[in-house]
Amino acid sequence: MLKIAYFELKKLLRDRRWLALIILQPIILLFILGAATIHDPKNIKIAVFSQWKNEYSNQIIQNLQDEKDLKIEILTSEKLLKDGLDKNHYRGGIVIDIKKNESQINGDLLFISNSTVPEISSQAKLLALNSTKKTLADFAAKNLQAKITTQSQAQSKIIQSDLKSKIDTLETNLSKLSLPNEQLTALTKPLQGIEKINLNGFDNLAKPNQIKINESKNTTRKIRYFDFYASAVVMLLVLITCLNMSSASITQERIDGTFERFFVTPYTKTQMIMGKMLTFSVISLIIAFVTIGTLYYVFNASLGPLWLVILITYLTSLSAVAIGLLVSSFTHTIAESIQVSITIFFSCLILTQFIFQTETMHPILTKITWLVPFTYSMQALREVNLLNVGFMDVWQDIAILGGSVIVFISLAIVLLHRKAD
Amino acid sequence: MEHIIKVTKLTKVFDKTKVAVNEISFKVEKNIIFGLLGPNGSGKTTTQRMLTALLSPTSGQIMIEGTDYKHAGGKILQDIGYVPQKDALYNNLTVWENVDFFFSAYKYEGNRKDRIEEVLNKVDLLDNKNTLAKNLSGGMAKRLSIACAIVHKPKIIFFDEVTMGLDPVAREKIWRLTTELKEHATIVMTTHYMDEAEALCDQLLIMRDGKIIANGSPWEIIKHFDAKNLHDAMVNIKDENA
Repeated sequence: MLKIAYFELKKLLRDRRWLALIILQPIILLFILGAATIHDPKNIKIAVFSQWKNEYSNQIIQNLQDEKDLKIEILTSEKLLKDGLDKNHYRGGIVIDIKKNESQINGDLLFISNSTVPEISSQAKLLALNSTKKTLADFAAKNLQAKITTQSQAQSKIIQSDLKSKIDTLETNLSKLSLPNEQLTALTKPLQGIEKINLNGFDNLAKPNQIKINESKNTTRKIRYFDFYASAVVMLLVLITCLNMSSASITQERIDGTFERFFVTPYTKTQMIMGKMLTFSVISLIIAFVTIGTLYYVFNASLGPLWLVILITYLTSLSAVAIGLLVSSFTHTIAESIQVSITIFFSCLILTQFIFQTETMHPILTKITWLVPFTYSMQALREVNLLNVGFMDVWQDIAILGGSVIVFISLAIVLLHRKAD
Repeated sequence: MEHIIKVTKLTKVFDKTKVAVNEISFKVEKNIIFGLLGPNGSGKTTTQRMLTALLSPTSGQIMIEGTDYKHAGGKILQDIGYVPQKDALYNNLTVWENVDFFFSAYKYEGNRKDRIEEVLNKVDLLDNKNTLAKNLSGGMAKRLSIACAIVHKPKIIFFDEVTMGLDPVAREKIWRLTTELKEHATIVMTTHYMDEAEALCDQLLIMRDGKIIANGSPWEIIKHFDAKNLHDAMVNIKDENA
């Protein structure tokens, strides 16, 4: 047994290309993984639209802009904000409808989550709403402080115990605003030592501002937890199936000897690649139908227009086949093909924004994600399946996917050498 | 005397230093069986690969029927048939489909079905036309491989150690077939079986260390090395080499 192991090891160590791949694979993947999670989420893009221009909305926006992990983009209409969310330009959107009416600030603030990226959208919501609540609390506190000062200057007669109860009311209301203790103490400090104060209108002063914070999603569909992953799983299943299917096809011909024989005929390498591509494209179509059919009929997944979902899935599979043929054009053994395919699959798993979002990535890696065609596939599938978007909203993603097929096929043709020298 | 192949100062250097074929020149007449012999590493396979356009020469010239390989592009492949050492067949295609696949690569003016039938009949595989290639015996697979190489009526057929590993009956069938093919094509074959080369070849080219050391009929070569037969002549060459 030791002899077998010894010679097996010798055989493996002498296959230098394979050995290099085996060593490089974890290094490459670790680098990608490390760069994908290099920091906590930051630069989370949030769109903001304010119905009114006043000091309050300006202050809310200013404080949002000061939030270091958010990247605020101010838009001029609510429609632009909703379109931007549908096109996945933003992780969330805030519509501010706040104005001052007499002594009271009132209105609504709506946070719209991006349903296609729920995790990063939740993070954005947390940061944005915390910032906004603090701003609103500041408004309330400043408002109260101004009134209290005015009232204390009037110096009416008042019983200390009455004042204490009012201060308690004030503190209770202030506590609802989630103010930090230091700020709360600072706010109530001017009240200490005031013995007499005119309480007329004090009840109104102590009430917090009438601002409602609402939340919604950028879809009217009922989305289950599974639905969010379904789109990503479609992309990944199709990728691994088609990559696996095509990546060893030419390599196998090299091993069987049919590759050499093929090239002693007038057949060209373009014909070889295109012939294989045509065959695999038929199989890919079947794979697309089977995958989508299973999701729809068995798992009852939330899907957009079926023809559009199948089109995106089909183009994804064609792109995977083209990459597989590209791999096959330069690998010499089945083991090499498998190693390269596995590296590509896991790289795509990290780079397509399925698990890791651009907000946690190194800036260079963020740019690289947009060079991976499956990022567009994932994005398009999520938008079509989770939001109410149609062809016109995802045509650019579809065009990029289609273009990637042409690019990878062309590369495969260029890299395939019919001659052995 | 009409020559179908004319090779002039053909050289192949690998990795800029390893000279596999060193300025060899020879001519091959039409409709003969031309044997390319030599010990392992002599350069015969490299020469054959250059003749079949699987390798580019480092220098030198290959002329096929007066046309330079370099300037002929893929057209020259229309006139070539190649039977590799490995059967190199599509295992999940039937006998008929394999022949049809290779037939489709060429421009052929005659009837497709008739030609495939004719070729399968010639290699004695017509009764097995619906059998998958993977289910054929070694001899049958080799005959199918020949069928794939001759279906387009090539002018030159390259045989790369085609009888390697076959039993005597199967070898005999291939020999008969090779002799029949000579009527319409020139055969260029490499082999390690000296009895085969002596029995079949009209002209032999013996190579060693990338150079030609003998060129002539089997009888002339036996005489040149003062041997009883071609086998002894080759042993003498190997002894000199050692």
